[in-house]
Amino acid sequence: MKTRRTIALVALIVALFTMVLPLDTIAQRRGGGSFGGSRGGSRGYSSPCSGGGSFGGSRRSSPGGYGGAPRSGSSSTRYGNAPAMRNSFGGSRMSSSSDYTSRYGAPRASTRQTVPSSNGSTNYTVNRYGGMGDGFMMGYMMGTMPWYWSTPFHPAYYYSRPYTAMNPDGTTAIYPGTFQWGTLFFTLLLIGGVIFIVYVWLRNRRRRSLGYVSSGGFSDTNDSGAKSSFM
Amino acid sequence: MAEFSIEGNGRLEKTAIYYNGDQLDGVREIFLNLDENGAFDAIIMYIGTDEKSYTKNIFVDYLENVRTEPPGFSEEEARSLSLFTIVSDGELAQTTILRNNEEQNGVVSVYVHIKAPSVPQGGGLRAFFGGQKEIPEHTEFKAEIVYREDNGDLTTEGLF
Repeated sequence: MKTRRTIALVALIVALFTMVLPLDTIAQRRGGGSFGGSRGGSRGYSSPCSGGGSFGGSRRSSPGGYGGAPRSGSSSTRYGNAPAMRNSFGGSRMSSSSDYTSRYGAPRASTRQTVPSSNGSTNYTVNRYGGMGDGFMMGYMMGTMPWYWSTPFHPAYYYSRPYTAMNPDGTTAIYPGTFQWGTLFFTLLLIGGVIFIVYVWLRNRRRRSLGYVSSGGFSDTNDSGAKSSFM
Repeated sequence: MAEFSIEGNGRLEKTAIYYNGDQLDGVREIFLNLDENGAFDAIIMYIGTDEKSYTKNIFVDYLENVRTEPPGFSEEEARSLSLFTIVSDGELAQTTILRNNEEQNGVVSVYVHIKAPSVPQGGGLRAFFGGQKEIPEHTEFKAEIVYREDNGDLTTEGLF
């Protein structure tokens, strides 16, 4: 029982940490998350400020590359700490695009897209990174999200909503959501907890039934007129 | 004078304990050790109506919160069982032993030790999460009486 309590305590502490830390950022740096582990070989690409990678250095001085990847602002504010507000499709708005690109690197492709909105239409600069988050981003943009995206059985559940930032040219830059390790952890904790409770319940039920058989009839204490006084 | 009886066939599953005519329930252990040299131990351990465990001297103490139940054996069943009875006030000099309602004479000693196996302790939520403890106990069933024959020899007999 002590071991179980220790495990539970450790799990609780880890859970508290995951609530505080932006683990999705860490995940992306490790090559996990929406960009996939396959891009680990081009890690320099994901940190253009360091000047590493084949294309990182030259593209930093030419903002027109890849269709004008937004690099406005030099704010070092982390997007997680930026005053977040909901945009039209529920993502988090960053103070500037650099909040995102400074962590995940320049997008693989950027395209301009006009999406109809309640105010007429909104011009978006859609930044693609080639991961699973791209697909979910487009789904959010279209405004038609299937209900099962909100269930733990679909990968979209483990991704944040897309991030947006206002570009100097008036368009809205949109970036794919990132993998949420905290969500994964809590979901596993919850599902694991339910499975554990069901397992314990079944095990104890089996033990009780076995105990009843092994103890014969004399342990039947509530049976009036029992053959034995012993329990 | 309390009357304490044990009825059975030598198996725990068919052993009934009576105290002043009432069949007891929830009994965990019986220990009787009486001999002509003055030993008089008569202990009963039972789980009371409040689910607490009690250990009492059978002929001296009041059996607090003891559970009783209607007689379990029919008359027909009882005919195939042995009945061992002690009537006493806790003093050896005031103790009468009966077997199948026949008073016994020449008794040197009586030794009875009947113990039920493990019992679960702790229930509710604790039991649900595996906190229920099984106290490992082995079943004990020993019941002997020693007589002194007319020629001075000692004879040991099983009570059931």
